[in-house]
Parts: sequence; structure tokens; C-alpha cells
Amino acid sequence: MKYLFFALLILSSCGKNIEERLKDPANDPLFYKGDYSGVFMIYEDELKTGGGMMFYASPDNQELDFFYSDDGNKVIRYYWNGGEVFDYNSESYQHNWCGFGLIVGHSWEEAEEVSMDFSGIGYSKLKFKVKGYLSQNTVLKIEGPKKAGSSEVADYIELDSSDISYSWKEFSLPISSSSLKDFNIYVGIIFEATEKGSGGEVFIDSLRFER
Amino acid sequence: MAKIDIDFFTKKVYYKSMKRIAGILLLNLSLLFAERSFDINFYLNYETIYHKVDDNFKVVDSGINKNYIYSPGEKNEFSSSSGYNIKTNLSFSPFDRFFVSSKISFVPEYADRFWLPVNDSHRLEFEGKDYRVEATEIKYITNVLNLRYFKGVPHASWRYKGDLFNFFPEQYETERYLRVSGRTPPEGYEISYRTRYSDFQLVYGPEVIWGYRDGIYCRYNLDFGTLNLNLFARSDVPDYVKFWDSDERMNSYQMSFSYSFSSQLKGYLGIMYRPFRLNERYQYYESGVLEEDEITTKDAFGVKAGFIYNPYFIVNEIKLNYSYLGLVAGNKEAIEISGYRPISKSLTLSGMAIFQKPLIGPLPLIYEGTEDSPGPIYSNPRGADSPFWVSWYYDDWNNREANIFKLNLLYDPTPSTWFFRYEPNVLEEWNLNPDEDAKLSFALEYKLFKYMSGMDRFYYWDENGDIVWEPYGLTGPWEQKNFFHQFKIITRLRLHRCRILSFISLGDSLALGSYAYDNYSQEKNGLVPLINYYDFILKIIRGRIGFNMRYAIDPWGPEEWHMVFGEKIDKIYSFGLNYRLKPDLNFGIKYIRVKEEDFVVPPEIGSYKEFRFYLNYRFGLNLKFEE
Repeated sequence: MKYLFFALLILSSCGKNIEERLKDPANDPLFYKGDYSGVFMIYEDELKTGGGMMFYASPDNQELDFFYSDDGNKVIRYYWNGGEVFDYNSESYQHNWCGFGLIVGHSWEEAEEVSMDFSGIGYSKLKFKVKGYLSQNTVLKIEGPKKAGSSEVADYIELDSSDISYSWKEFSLPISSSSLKDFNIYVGIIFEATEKGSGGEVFIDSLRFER
Repeated sequence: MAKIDIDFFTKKVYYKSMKRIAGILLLNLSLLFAERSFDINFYLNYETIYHKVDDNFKVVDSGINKNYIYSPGEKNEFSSSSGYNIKTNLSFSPFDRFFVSSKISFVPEYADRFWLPVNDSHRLEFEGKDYRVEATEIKYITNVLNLRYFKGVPHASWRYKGDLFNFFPEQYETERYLRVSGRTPPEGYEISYRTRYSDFQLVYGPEVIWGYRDGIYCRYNLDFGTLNLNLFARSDVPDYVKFWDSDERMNSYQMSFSYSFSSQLKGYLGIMYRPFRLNERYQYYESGVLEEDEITTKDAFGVKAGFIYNPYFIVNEIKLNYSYLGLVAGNKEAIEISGYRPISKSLTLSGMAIFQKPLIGPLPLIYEGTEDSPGPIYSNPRGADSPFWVSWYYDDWNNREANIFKLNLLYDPTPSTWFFRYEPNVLEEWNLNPDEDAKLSFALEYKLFKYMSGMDRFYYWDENGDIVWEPYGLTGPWEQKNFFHQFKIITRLRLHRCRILSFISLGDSLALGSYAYDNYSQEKNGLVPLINYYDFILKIIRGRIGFNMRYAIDPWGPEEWHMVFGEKIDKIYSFGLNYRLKPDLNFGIKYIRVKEEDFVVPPEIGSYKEFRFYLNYRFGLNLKFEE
């Protein structure tokens, strides 16, 4: 019995490297498919980037839900009541804008550290469906891919209250190949107001890059 | 009511006001209701905690949890806090066959702690509440009819009632459910009706099973002697399923038979039907390509069959079980063989082997493009929307491809008092029979296991008792290259007036969730996918004195989600000493040292020392009403 005990003890304590004991799927030749489908679905039912999100200003007076149920279909719901948010750049509260970005990194802490390069794939447009409402003097700005913390202006589209209603409408934003080189943010979604208003509520779905 | 017998547990009462209030309350209530008995006990638990985080670490509150951050140059001192709570157990029987019991916890002051900071006292303080009704049971029992309301009261499974598919799992860990969620499952109503040949039970309520809401569970057993026929139905709303339609539920039905061919051979057969998300489309991965198909009625069926044979030759009992569960019925095919034989009067050897695999494997994480130029995710492990999954650990979807072997040896020279209390060969402290009277007894377990497939996304309960699904873009736990081992031995010794219990466990253990296998999480949060751990626990009780200690190297953190995330502790030392001054008064000290040797530590696993001084005092009233 004692021999059995010691044998088990030795067997149980054989601590090899993890690499020797587990198969890392990333080493499987099939981990990369080889070709490209030509469509990168960023959001459909859930965020499909593998990355995270970050608010551009403080999250005050906003509601953001990535699992909002719209007749059983999940969509992004973003609401701003027009109230003040803290702008980290100017270090002051303001009511002119607020927004968030879907980032390559997991959290804002690595927003500038982790990047992606899709320049070789040939995506040429950002497409999405949107519905909701915008108050007077408020616009919804959708930005294409860009580097975090950069002063470069990203490709963008601005929608005002005449552009969106509570019926789904699809939009397409042309994006430049250069913006897809080493970017940190897939998409930015921003409310902008020329004067204090009551913000808006938008629902976004089928957010994707397409060739 | 001819005589009232009042028995104070102790004559020396320090908490006069408490006793006075309790006394008035009791006497009034008893006069109103109690015709047979009325018991009330108060448990006062006082503690003072001194603790210190190691230098170069900082501790921050995160809700009721704590996070530890490496902070170079940070110097820390001991700090202390004191707290107390009062737990009240009340029970009375106003008339024949009718029983009421309840447990209420009052937390006027909480003592801040590092070890297991997620606890209900902390939660009550955090939420600004003073008390919690932890458990209530109201029941009316006759020989044929039982009516019951329960909340926070454990219940057994229906396994021994012919439930082959675990429709009604046991719910024993009520303290843990409360501690980590602030809720008090199981909670519901029960009606059972028994005749000579049949047995009916209906249980329903808001959370009869932890994490399953608005459940209805029903069984009907017919006993024809050698033939038993069992019918089961289950309908609930599992937290882990994302139901977008408020009317959607998970419904399951089961019919099982068992037949005794002879005194040595018994066979059983069960069929289940779970029409979950029928006609819904799903993806599967085959030969490098994602394919699609649709859930059909046949995917909702499951079959289980087996036999128990007692040859009393070579082995005393052998049990063979085969299951085939359609995609939405469990997505699994499994064979389980177990058996036992006594080696001598005191020694029993038993073994078990399980071979299982999913009918359709997990969706692997695959990227478009090449390693040099990766594109977006092409295939991702299934999430909360899927009609089925490949997973492990939880009973519902424990279908990851695996070969598992277990060998148990039990030495018990007094088999009339069982070594185990509830389940045979489950080597856990809660499962030990306190009435075991052998001078020396032990149980040993050796387990070999190999998981040979990946997994879909895992879900887990967080510190608020909410289900969380892992996000997109993680690989899931990795496949094993070879077999892993685990070894456990529990030894119980009675030496004169000493009772000694030792528990040794060592071996390999895999993290349950995907984060632990992710390079980013490993580097940033110090998570690990695999541990090779040693754990030694010793408890000695001699008369009024109790001593306990633990020494462990590389175990998982104490919470279930620590194992999910791969949060390992480098070393734990703990010692405790307890002295029972009177039957109702005891005090003691406990020291715990949690030591991390790296600077990249899992967020919830710090490096600290903690002393806890405590005092428990019980006082109460026991009223008996005699005719």
C-alpha cells in the first residue's frame, strides 16, 4: 500500500510546462482560415470584435446597452439625455458631445497599445443600420477606424434628426485604406450638440466593414 | 395548556434587553399560536479582525469584493475592525403535524475581512440592510399528504426516485448560495401525495434550483413490485440561457422504467424530451468550414439505459450506463462503468470509468487570413443564444469529450456506522459521517482524466450571484495532451479523547473558464490555466479544545469563480484554536496567511496576513406545552 501511495504522490506532482501538457489551439494550422470573406461583422447580436469599448468622455447621463432586445433581435442602444459629461481633455464638464468607441484592446487602459491592421483585406466601407431619434441641434456622428489619441480626423458620417426615425435605415460610410492600417478603434459613435438639448436615443445593428 | 416548562440555556445572561424583547415576543406569540412547542435560539457572533496587506500591494474595495494591485513602494500597517451579528432560529408547532421554522440574521456591525470578503454580512452592510430572513419552512405533514413552503432549505435530488436525467438536482449548498448571491434558494412550494403504489410530488416556486427561475417540477412514481414506472416534467427559466422572448421557457419531460429481472440483476431505461429552440438554426464546424443546420424534433430526445448486476464473483456489483442525448437534450454520448468489491472485512475497493463526447463538438475560435495578416474572427465558440453547447462542470452540459477514471479505497473497520454521510466516495468534509466510530478509518481516491476537446463559451456565477457569459474572441479551455492526476486521502483517527481528521489532496486542476487560457489575461492578471497543487488540512478536537491548520501550495482561490478565472494562490498557511468555555460559549483565534510570490497577482488574490478573534454565545428559550 505504501508503494502505491508514493507512486501516486510522484505521479500527481509531475509538474511539467503548460505547453507540454495542453494544446494551444493557436498552434493549430487551422487557427487561421487563409482567405477573407470580405465582410467583418463588428456587431450583430453581440460585439464580435474580441475587443472592448470605451467612453470618450465620462459615462454620465448616458445609457449604453449592447444586448438591447428589439423584437427579439439584439441591438446596441445608446441614449444621451443631453446632460453634462466630463471631458477628460479639457478637464471640464460640458454638454456639447459624448460618445464611445469600439476598440481593439480589451479596455481603455490598452486602447492605444493594441492595434489591428486590415489594410491588406480591402474593406472599403463601414455599413450599419440605425434607428431612433435625435433632438433639435443634436447630430449622431459615426466615425470609421482610427488611431486612439491621434489628432487625425477619421472618416465619418453625420446624421441629424431628419435622417433617422424609429424605422431601420441602412447607411454606408466609405473608409480609406490608410485608416485600416494599425488602427486602435474600429468605430466611434458620438452625439454632438450645438447647444444644450435633450440628446437622443439611437439603436444600431449590423455594424460591419465590407469590401 | 396545563403546564409551561421554560428552560433557559444559560442562567447568566449578558444581553438583558435582547432577552427581555425576546421573552415578551415569545410569550405573546406562544399564547396566540403554540399549543405544542415553541423554540427560539439566539446566536451572538462577535469578531475582531486585524489584518495587513503585504508591502508593495494595495487593496481596493470592488463592491463587496476586494481587489489587490501591485503598487511598488506601498507600505502597509495592520488595521483592525470589529463586528457582530445575531442569528435567530425560531421554530414552533402550533398544532399536530404543523411546523414552522425560520432563521433570521441581524448584522448591526460588520468586521471587514480579506479572506472571503464576499459574504452575506458584508452584502447586508453594503446594501444598507439590517437583517435577512435566511431560511423559512412551513409544513403540514400527514402519512399521505405533505404541504410545504420552503426558502433557503436544502433538498435532495430525485435520483433515487428514478430520475435518470437529473431533472431535480440536489440543493445542499444553501449557505454558499446565500453568501455569493444574497438570495435564498431553494425557494418554493411543495405538494406531495403518497399511496401504497404511487408517489406524486409537485414543486414550484421562484427559485427551486439555484439559477433556475419560475420552476415547476413534477414527478409521479408507480411501483408494481419488480417494475417501476416514473414520469417527470420540468419547466423553468435557466439564468444561463438568454431568453429574448419573455414567454420562452425550457421544458423537459421524462419517462423511465426499472425492472428487477432477479435479485441480482436490475435494468433501467429512460427517455427524455426537451423541445428547446426547435427549428432554430445552428452552426457547426467540419473540415475547416462552418456549416449550418436546424434543430429538429429528433434532436430533442435523449435515451439512457443500463443495468446493475451483483454477481458476488470477482466484484460484488457492476453498473453499466449508456446515454445518448440529442443536441438540445444534452448533446452527449456517454458510457459509464462502475463497480466495487470488498478486499477484506474493512477494505472496499471501487472504481469508475466514464467515456463521453458531444454529438456535435464546440465551435473553435478561427480567424480569417493568415498568422502574418490576421483578419476578423471567422468562427467563435457558441454563446448564450445557442440552442446547445459543449461545456463541463455544470450538470446540464457536462459533455466535453473526456476519459475519466476513478479508483477509491475505503478502510472502515466499523461499516455499521458509514464513513460517508450522503454520497459514497465523495471525499469532501461535508460528506463525512460525524457518527463514524472506528479508531482508524480512511478513504483514498485516485483520479485520472483527460479532456480531449475544446469547449464553447463558459458561463459562471459572479460575486452578485448573476450569470455571466464569456465574451467573444476567446479560445475556451484547451485540449489536454496527456492524462492528468488527482489524489485525495481523508484519514480519521480516534486517540483516547482526541479526534483527528486529516485531509490531503494534490494533483492537477484545470481552470474552468477561457480567460485563464488567454495570453493577455495571463500576462496582465497573473491567471493560470493549470495548477499542480498540494493541500493539507488537519483538525484535532480534544474535549473543549479544537485546533485546525491548513498548508497549501498553489491551490485555486477559495471562490468558485477563482477557479473559473484561473486565480491561484501561491501559498496559504492557516492556524486556528478554539476553546469551548461552556456548552453555549466558545471563543477562539484564527490566523491566515495568503502569500503571493510574484508581483503580477490575480486581482482578487492578494498577499496578506489576517488574525481573527471571535466569540460565539448562544442563548434562548425552549417552551413545551403539555396537556
